[in-house]
Order: sequence, then structure tokens, then C-alpha cells
Amino acid sequence: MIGTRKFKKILLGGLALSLTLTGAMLVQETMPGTGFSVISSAEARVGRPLTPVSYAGVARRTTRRTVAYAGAATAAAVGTAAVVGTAAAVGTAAAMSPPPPGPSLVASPPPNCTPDGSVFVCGGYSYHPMMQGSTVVYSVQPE
Amino acid sequence: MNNLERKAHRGLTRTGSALASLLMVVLSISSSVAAEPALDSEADALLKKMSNYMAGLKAFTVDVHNTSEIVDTQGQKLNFSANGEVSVMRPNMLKAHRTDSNGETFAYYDGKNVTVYAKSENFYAVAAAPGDFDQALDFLRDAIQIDLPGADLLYNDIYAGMTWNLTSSSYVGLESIGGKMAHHLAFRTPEVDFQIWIQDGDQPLPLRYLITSKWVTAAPQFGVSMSNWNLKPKLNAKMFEFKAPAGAQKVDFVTSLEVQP
Repeated sequence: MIGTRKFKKILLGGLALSLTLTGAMLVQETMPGTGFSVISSAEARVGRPLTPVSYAGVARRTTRRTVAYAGAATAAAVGTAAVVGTAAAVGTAAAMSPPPPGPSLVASPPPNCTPDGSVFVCGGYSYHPMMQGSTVVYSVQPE
Repeated sequence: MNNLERKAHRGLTRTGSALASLLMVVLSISSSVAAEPALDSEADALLKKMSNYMAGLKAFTVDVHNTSEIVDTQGQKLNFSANGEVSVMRPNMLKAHRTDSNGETFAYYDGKNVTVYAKSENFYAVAAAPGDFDQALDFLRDAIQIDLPGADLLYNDIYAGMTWNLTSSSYVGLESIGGKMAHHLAFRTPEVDFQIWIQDGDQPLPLRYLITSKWVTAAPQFGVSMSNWNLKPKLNAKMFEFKAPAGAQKVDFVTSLEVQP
């Protein structure tokens, strides 16, 4: 039946495309122009207290042509939920796993990290506040 | 299974497969239609009318409610809400206030600088922005990663942005949005589908906007509802300038200056 064959083709086409797009979303690692590594397996900060959620997909917020800039697309798409780095955003787990080498962005300093002005220092790293879109994130630097 | 049940079961199965074949035929027909751009002149005219009307407004304020969805790695879809107000004064001033799970944020654009102020942390960041309103919105999106709620509907030229890459448009019908009759239009592009509801009558304002990321698993959607349109607000240029509250600390934007168009 012609109808069935076409239907299968549509399904497979859709599946392949969604895999490609989701895959693309998960492998972006470097934000061009900053040297920041943003996400490997993406996490979003949602709610208070911080509850990182690993996400597979986000809703786009525009139909307009946007620049082919993976980091911005991801961050902008999340909007309310900041895209954060891999380590310190996990809260308590951060105490056990140190931030990745090199500059990166996290949603917040580890718990019990004491502020020195607006900069937090602990565990051999300093956490500097920055504005990512409309959300405050912290840039992690080795002391 | 007794006889009666068996009969009923057979009947249901038959109905089921008949429905399935019908569905497939319908799907194959609709897919062959979707292969070529199918643009509807009525939908196009309404979109253009709204765009022109919005461009002609000297100033406006509007309340905005938006929802955004993410799909987690387990396939569960989460829907987040945010509320805000947007004030625009042509040609190039904008102010937005937003409340969401991360707290309260203010964005100011005075024609020269963009400032974002995160109230709960008492931090703000400033960046020089293009003087042209539409270029400034692009700059916000692309360079400093700020996507204002329903920004697509704030551009001076809404029509150009929303008709980019269209493969299909259609007029769906008249619906009531917040007690006001609105034209429901549906559009498709290769990446996303979107729908917009435009107020009927001589004030063709956008009342609702919904974008579906159709190829992302579970098809998450971003939606924005606009209400309490005030087309004669009392605004002045000073309202669009940011003055740092006491104790507020200045931080840097995470920028992406070397973006590739």
C-alpha cells in the first residue's frame, strides 16, 4: 500500500532529523569568542533552590533567522533556566568533584563557599559573577 | 471470550484498521501538499496588517505571560512560566521586566546601551548596543544571549522576520482570546511551526504566539500571551535609562562576539 510506505518514510525522516538536532545540542562545548566551555551534557538551572535538570531538548523562542551560534541558541532557548557548566552546578556533588580545568560557567558557587566581595573562593577555585542573558552565572577560575 | 465479545472485538479491529488506512492516506496526502510552499493570501495579509500596525505605534506597554518547555533526558517535558511587562517607545527605546523561577530581572535599552539588572542578586551588566531598534534586538539575541519574551513581536519589521523560510501558511479561524475575537493563523518553516492570534477589528494586535520545535523529541513549545495593551502610555526617555540601585554591583556579560552569521 502506497500510503503505508509513505507513512514509514515520513516517520523515519522525522526520527533521523530529531536525532541529529538533539545530538547537535548535546555536543556543543565551546562558546565562540569567549573560550568558555558551556555544556557537554546540558543542564538547566530550574527553580529554587538550584535543581539542575539535564535536558535533551528545549523549545525555540523565535522563528526568525538566528546566527549559527550553538551556545547562544541553547542558552537563549532555555531562557528562564540558565545553561550551566558541568561540575559545580550540582550543588553538594560539587564539593566532591572539582570544576573542570580551564574557564567554565556554573550556576552558583559550591555551598558553604565564602564570598570575598562578589567573588567566591574555595577549593582552589574562584567564582566570578557574570550575566548570561538575564541570569547570573559564575565563571570558574583556578586560584 | 464469548460470541458477543468476539464479534465486538472483530468489529473494533476492523474499524481500527479502516481508520488506520484512512489516517495513512490522509497523512500521505498532507505530506505531498506540504512538500511545496502553500501560502495562504488571507493569512499573509493579516500578518502584514498586524506588522504594519505595530510599526505605526509610537509607544505601547503590554503585559506578557510566557511559557517555555524543556524535555529532560528521561523524556519528561517540563513547562515553565514567566510574567512580565514590556514598554516600547519608538524609534529605539525598550524596557522589560520579568519574573520567573530565577527571580526578577529588568532589561533597559535607551537607544545606546543595554542594561540587565538581576534584582535578587543586585547585579547588573551593561553593553553598548546598536542604535537601530531591530539591530539592537538581534544584538541582544545573538551577542549577549537575551531573548526577550515574544521578541519576534517587538521588531519594527515583524513581517520580514516571521515570513523568513515559510513553507506553508493557513488561516484557521476566529477564536476568543481573553474575551477578544482573534484571527488564528498557522505557519510552517523547516525547523519550527508557529501559530499566532491577531485581534480582529481596527486594532490588529498580537494576542497570542506559539512556537513548536517540531523535530525536537516531544515537540516542546514556547508560548507568549499578551494582554492589557496600552497604546497611549505615559512614557518618557528617562524611564528607559538604568540607574543602579544602592549597593548594586556591576558584572560583565557573557558575550559571544565572534558569532558566525
